[in-house]
Amino acid sequence: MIEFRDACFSYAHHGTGHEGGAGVRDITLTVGPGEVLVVCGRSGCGKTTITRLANGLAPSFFPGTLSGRVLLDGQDVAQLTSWQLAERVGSVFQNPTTQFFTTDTTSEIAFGMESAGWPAERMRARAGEVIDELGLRGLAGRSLFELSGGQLQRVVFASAWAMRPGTLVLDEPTGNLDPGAVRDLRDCVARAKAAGCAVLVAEHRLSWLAGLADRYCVLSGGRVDRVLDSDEFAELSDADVTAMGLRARSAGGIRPAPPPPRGHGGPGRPWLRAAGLSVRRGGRQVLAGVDVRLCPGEVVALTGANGAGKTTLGRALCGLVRTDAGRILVEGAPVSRRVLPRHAAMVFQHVEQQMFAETVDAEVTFGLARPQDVDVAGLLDGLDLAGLGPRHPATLSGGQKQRLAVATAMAGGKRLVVLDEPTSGLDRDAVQRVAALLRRLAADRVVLVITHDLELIAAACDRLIHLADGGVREEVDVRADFVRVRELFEDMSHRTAPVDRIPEPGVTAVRPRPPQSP
Amino acid sequence: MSVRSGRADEPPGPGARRTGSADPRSKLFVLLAVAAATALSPAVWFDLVVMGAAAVFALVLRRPRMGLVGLAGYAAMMAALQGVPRLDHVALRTMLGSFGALMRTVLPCGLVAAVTVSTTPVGEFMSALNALRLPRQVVVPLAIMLRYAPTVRADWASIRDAMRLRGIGPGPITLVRHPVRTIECVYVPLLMSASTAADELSMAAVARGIENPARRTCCTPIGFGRVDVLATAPGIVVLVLAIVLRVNA
Amino acid sequence: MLTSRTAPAASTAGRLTARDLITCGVFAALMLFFTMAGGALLAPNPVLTFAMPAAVALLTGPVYLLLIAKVPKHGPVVIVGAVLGLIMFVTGMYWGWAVTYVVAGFVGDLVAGAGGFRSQGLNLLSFMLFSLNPLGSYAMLWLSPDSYAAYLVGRGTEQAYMDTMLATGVGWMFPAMIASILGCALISGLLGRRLLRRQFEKAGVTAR
Repeated sequence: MIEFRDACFSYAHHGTGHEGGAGVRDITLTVGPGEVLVVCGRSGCGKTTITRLANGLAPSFFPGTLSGRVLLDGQDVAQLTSWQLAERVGSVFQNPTTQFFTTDTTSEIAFGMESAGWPAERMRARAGEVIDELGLRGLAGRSLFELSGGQLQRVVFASAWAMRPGTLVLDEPTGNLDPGAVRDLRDCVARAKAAGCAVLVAEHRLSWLAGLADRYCVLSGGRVDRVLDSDEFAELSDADVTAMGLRARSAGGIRPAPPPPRGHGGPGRPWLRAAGLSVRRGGRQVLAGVDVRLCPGEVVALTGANGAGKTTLGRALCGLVRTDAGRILVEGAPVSRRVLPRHAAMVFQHVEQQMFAETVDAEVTFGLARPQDVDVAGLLDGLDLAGLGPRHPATLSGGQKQRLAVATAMAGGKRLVVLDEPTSGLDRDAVQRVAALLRRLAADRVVLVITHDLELIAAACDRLIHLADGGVREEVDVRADFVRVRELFEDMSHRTAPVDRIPEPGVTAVRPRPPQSP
Repeated sequence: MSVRSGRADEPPGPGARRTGSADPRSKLFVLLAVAAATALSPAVWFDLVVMGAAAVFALVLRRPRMGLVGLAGYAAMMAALQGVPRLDHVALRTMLGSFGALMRTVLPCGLVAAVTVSTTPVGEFMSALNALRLPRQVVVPLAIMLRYAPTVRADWASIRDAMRLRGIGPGPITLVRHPVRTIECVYVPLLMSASTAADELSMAAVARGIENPARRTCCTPIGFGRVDVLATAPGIVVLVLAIVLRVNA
Repeated sequence: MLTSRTAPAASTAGRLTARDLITCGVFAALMLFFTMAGGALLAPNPVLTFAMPAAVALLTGPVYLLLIAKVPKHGPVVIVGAVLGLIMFVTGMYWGWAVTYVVAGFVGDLVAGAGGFRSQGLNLLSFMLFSLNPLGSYAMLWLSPDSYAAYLVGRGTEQAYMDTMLATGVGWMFPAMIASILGCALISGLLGRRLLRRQFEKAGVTAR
């Protein structure tokens, strides 16, 4: 159980480094045992800071000034050391790939217990319990490098849950996950809730929490704007939710955007065609005979469960993957793999891996043969990056970096732009900005967006290509048949392998550890 | 200590200790013993004995093929270098001769090491270092290094893609034409991601109690058994033999 | 009640925090990556193997200097030396390299520490000295010249001829290696300094 009483926090190094996060003021909130509280609001509203106050990272890891009180099971957080807190609060963060420390699942689940110096026997027994409880038997003893992001996130959850904390704190835990993985994580949280754990979730994506959350706390500018119980939250009008900057409350509430105004001309003749593309990697057939055509004027979504080959297909179309069979035609003529990268640009999920220059201005024209021909200021202006020219690209926010990558594609005169998960960890306004940007790009380019964000598809995409088992399973006209799009997402969120299913909560409910005195 | 896969012989479930494999401490001992024996080696014939002992070690740990490949490679190299002293070119002869001398001492250790790495999951290795009471200032960075090394490779693969799409390399032609720019392109994203990853990993580690001053424990079970006697025997034999030969000489 | 902690998270003095240790681990992985990149190409080649230390020195400068800039206190360089030395030992490199890795770690730490880890010149010198670490893997050639000579002589070569050759050959190779390492380390270190100034300090990833 966790209580905030008039808690205020301001960072000592505001706006520097990668520690980002806005301060909070006058936070009074309580999360009781068995309760799930969702903290939501626009980017920069202070949600993350609330989670850091709860797990003590602010101020122990992120220096700053704290006033007021944060109580954990009645005990002041300020009186507890970081390791005492670690035993009472389990934390799960957004990026599964930067929160594991070992190389196999069992060691990872035991990591917290190892730090606390548990005897090996007791630790192994507990790890076994947690593996059974969370349905991870199929992952036990596996190398972490073989796991998908979603599986990794469940292992991370298991590691936090292994200490039997009375409180769980999740900071955008689904930011990098596909629908199936979100569903699995939801089951894990449901399990903890059933066991009487107090759960605090900071999230942009809200639909997975419907039916699980007890209360919603909407933050604005570092203060609590309103606290609603789940019924009140469900009764809000869509307009209210939009005004608060929140994303869709449930998948059912998402509607496709109206078609773009006339004058865009709609899709023209195909600019790029791929026929019978096959890719084998490490003895596995990743793509098997994929046919794709992409036309200027339309935004195409590429969906599919983890491991369906989405990113490989995107990279193959950019000429970054050696194909075993099939060919790629640009404007009807076959093009070799060496030439394709000249026409193509890709915005990576980890966009910082494609930033090279020392200023934003220099980044736009970096590597171009004739940089003087590019209207850098105009380009940055059009992408909401005006005034950032002299900054270092690494100091930009995630969304800004993404738009900068788009600017480099535009400056390079690329005809094909592939975006990989452009909306992970973005708030509603930012998703809408990405959607508008995609539409603009598509006016005279070919745009393919790899995504598992139903809201982005609804807002920006014309056509959806669904991959499964390395092949194109289905193509859907997003506006004409949005019902089908929703069904596909529904299917993806139920595709977990039976061996990994979590037993129904309540069968072997485990009580959290009672609060201990120091 | 295979980084890619957590299991070497079979998945080390949360249950009991893997059977059939020696304790990592035994393997580290053999590695030390073989290194010391080659350093003390009084003659060329003794190097052959050490190599033979390394092959026996491979056999005991059920890596017969590694042992055979090691022996064959050793024999081939020795044969190839027989002609070196007859070469006329002095610099070339020095280099080839020195290389041969190095290889003679490195190959037995290399074979023992290859067997050790292929039969020891990272978890067991960390358990062993923990049992040997290495300070946390070494154990924690080592664990992080083993875990982060594959990530560096993956990062480098994406950076190469990004460079290709921007038409800036990373081939030899661009390296010659724009050396400084190409080098920047390699280091900037790689070091930038590493910095971010270090910060995020640290945050997650603190949230999981890494700052606890209690002595760390290790969940992967290790322990000595009958196989350890067999595995350490070749190491003990060559070490004792080397010392005896040195003392008598 | 009011709690204020103003010490920066990556504190600039005193004991190593958990964050420092993790940063060391991540940077050790980068050092290993570049060491392997330099070593994998050159080490198994009989002629080029003696150029391997120079290649490694040429590649690792920016990583080393950024590590010192991120954790400017005693310890990180020693830790990186120890961790890499351990890995070199366990993966079957010549044990002399493992030993010199640790020694080079201590030397590098002391030299950079003499300038409080903030002196550009001393940090560069620290890196150049640290880069000499692979010499340990060739140490046996000079530590036991008898067995080396015995091996080189083999059979059917005149002893006198061998003596001359050994004297000139080894006498020439050792200084050449040291010079090439120091030269490459200097280039790499200067490049690293340029990257620090133009990129990493502006990006805010160095210690404040």
